[in-house]
Amino acid sequence: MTPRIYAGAAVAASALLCHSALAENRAVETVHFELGMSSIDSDTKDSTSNGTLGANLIATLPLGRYFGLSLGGRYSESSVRTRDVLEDDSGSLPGGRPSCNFDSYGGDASLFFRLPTWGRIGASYGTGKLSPDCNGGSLFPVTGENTLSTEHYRIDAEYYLGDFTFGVAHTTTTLDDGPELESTMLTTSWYPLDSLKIALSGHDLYDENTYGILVEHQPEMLGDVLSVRLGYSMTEESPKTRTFQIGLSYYFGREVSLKSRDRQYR
Amino acid sequence: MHHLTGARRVAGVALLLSLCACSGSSDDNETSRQIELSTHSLTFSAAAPTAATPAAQTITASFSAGIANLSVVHTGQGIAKVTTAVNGTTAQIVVTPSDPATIGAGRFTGTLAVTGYFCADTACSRLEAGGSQTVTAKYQISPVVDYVAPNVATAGVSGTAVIRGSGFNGYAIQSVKFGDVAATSLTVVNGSEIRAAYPALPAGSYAVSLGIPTHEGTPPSTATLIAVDAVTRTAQTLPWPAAVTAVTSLRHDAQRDALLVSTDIADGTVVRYAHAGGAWEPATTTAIAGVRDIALSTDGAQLLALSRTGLTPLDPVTLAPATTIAAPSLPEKSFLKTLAVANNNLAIVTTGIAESKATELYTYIVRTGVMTKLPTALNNASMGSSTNGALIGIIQGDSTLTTAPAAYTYAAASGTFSPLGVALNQNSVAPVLDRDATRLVLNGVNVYGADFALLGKLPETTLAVSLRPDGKRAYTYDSAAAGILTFDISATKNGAAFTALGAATPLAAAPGASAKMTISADGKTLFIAGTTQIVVLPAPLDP
Repeated sequence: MTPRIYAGAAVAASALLCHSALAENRAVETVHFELGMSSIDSDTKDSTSNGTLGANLIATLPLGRYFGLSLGGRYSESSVRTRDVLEDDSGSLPGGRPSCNFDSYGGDASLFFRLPTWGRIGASYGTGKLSPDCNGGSLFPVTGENTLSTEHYRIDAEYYLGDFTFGVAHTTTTLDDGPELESTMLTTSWYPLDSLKIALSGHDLYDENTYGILVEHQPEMLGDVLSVRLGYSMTEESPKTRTFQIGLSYYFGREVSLKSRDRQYR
Repeated sequence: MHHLTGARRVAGVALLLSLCACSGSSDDNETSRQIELSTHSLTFSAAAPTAATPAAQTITASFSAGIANLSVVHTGQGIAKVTTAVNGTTAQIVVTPSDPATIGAGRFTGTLAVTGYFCADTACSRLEAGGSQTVTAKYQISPVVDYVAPNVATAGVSGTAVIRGSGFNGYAIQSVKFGDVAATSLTVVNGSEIRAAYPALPAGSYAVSLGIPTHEGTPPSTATLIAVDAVTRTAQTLPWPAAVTAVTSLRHDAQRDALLVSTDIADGTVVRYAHAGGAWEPATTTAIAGVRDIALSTDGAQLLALSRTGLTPLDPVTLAPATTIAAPSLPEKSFLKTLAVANNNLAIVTTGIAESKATELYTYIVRTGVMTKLPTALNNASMGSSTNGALIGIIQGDSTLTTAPAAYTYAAASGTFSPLGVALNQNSVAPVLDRDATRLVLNGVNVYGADFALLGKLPETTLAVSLRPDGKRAYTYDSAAAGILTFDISATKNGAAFTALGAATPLAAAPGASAKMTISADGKTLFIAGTTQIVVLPAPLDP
C-alpha cells in the first residue's frame, strides 16, 4: 500500500507545482489562531473504555505567498473506566474502584506549500509525552518506565476539487527507543455547505484498518468564529474499538467560512 | 454546472479508491492487541489474622511488541500491592497479599486487570485499550481458636466456656463444637471472644472447633477442653516440707488435681501436692527466690511463678523452671507483687513498693514470653481472677492512706482497665471471684454482683474467702468462728450483712497464720493454707 500512497502524493505535488502560476491567493491569508477542546470516548470490546478531555492551540502563519507554518501544542487527560474490567460476575466491585489516568502533552510544527485553489503539501514534526497514573501500576514496555516520549514525522498532501478535498498523510511515529509505527491516512472531505464539512477517513496504524467519519459545522449565526465537531471511528480488528468524539474550536481573527478556513487559513 | 457534476463524480470515485486502499493490511510485524496471562486465578491463605503475610505470587503476561503501555489495576482488600517488571514482550506481575493483621480474618476476593494500551492515533497523542485480561485473587484468612477458659470442666456438669482467639468477626460462625459435641448456645462477643455453653460431658479431652460453612477446611484451633470427674476428698491436713512463715499464693490445678503453693521456704519455694487415687502424694518443691505469687496459664501448660524482679515459667507437674524473664525497667525499690492470668493467656502483673506510691503494671504474654511495662500505675495493687479469666479484680492502697483509692477491674474481652466505681483501701485478703465472674469479693468482706453493685457484706472477721464455682455460695475462713462459714450470696442484701447458713464447719486442724484459701473446680473441696499446714476440707453442704 505504501508505494501507492507515495505515487499519489507525488502526482498531487506535481499537479500543484504545475499550476502554481495560476494561483490567485496566498497559502495563508493571515495569521490564524485556533483554540480547540475535545472530548473523546474510546470503547474497546471486552476491555476498558476511557474518556479523554483535551485542549489544543494552533497558530498558522504565512511564510511568503506560497508557504505556511503551523505550530501547535496540546494537552489531554484520559480517564480509564476500570470498573468495566474489575466487576465480578454479579456486576459488583469487590472493593473500591481504582483510578487510572493518562496524561498527554506535546507539540508539533508543520511547514506546507499551498495553492488555495488546488491543494497543499506539507511536512510535520512533533513530539509528545505520555504518563500514566494508575492504582496498581502502569508502565511502558519500550522504556520499562512510567513515561513515554514520542516523536513523529509526517508528510501530507491535499487536493482540492470543487467541494471535495482529498488528503493523504503518511506518519512515522517513534515510541522512545522502541519500534517505529508507520501509518497512512486517506481522507476525503465534502463541503455540502461552506459551513459544513463531512470527512471520511481511513488509516492503517498497527496494520489494522480504522475508519472514521467526522462532521464539522461552523454556524454562521455564531459569527463564523466557532465550529463544532462530531466524529466516530472504529477499528475492525480484535478487539474492536469504537471512538466517539465531540469537539469545539474557537478561531481568533478573520471571520470566514469553514471551507475557506480550511483552504486558506489553517 | 456540468463542470461541478463531473468534479463530484471524480471525487466519489477517489473516495472509494481511498477507502479501498486502506483495506489491505500487511502481514509483516502484525501487532496483536491481546494479552495472555500465565494464570487467571490466584489463591492465598493465612492460618490466622496474626499469621505472617503469605508469599507474593507472580503472573507472567505476554504481549506483542507494538504495545505502548501495560497497566495493571486491582481492587479488593486482599491485594496489598502489585508491581510490574517488563522484559521484552513479557511482564512479571508480582501480587502481594495484604497483611492478615491489617484486614483481619475473612474470605476476600480481589480482581486484577491487565490491559494493554495502544496508540489511538497516528501521532500517538493518546492511548486506547487493547485486550484486557483479569485475574481473580482469593484470599482466606482463617479465624483461629487459641484458648478455652476455663480449660477444665467437671464431667457430667454443663457449663459455659470462653473461647479466645482471633478473627471471629470475619465469618458467620454457625456452631462451636467440643470434640463431636455441639455447643448448646454460642455468642460471638467480639472478634476475639466467643461464649459457648456445653452440655454435660463425659470425662475426656474435647478439641474446640468452629463450624463455619464458608471457610475452606477446618479453622485452626489449639484449644482443648478437659472434662475431669468430680473428686471427693476427705478432710485432712497436708504438712509443709519445711517451716513456713508466709504463704503467698495457693492454687488448685484442676486438670491434674494438684495443689500449688508459693511459700517463703528457703526464701522462696513453690510446693506441689498431687492428689491421685484418693490420696495425696508427698510434696515436691522448686526453689524460686523471692516468689510472690503463682498462677497457671490459660491452657494449663505452664505454671507462672512471680518473684520480686521477674517471672519464671515452670512445668506444672515437675516444677522444672524455664528461664526467668526479668521485668524491664523495674523502678528502684519496687518489686513484682501479684499475678493474674486473663483468658487470652495474658498475665497481668502488679508491682509494689514499701511506701504508699503508685507503680506501673506489667503484662506478660505467655505464648511469646515477652514482658512489657504498662503506663497504668497503681498503689501496691493486688489481684484476683475469675476461673474463666474474663475478669480480674484489682484493689490497691496502703495502711497510711486516709482516703481510699479506687478499685479497678481488667476485662479480658476488651483488654482494658476500668475503675470499679468503688473506693476501698486494700487489706490482706486479695480479690476473689467465682468461675464466671458473677461475683466479686473485695477485702474479704464486700460482695459485688456482675454489675459491680454491692450485694452485701461478709463478716469483718474473715481471714480468707472462696466462692463456689456457680457464685451462689461464699465460704469464709473466719477468725471468730475458727472454722468455715457458708453464706448464700445468690441474692442481694442491698449492701447489708449476709447471714451465715448454719454453724461454722470446723477444720481438721488450724492452718496457721497468713491463710490463703481456694476451692476445687468441681466446688467440692476447700483448701486453706497457712503457716502451719494445709487443711483440706470438703465444701460444707447447705444445712
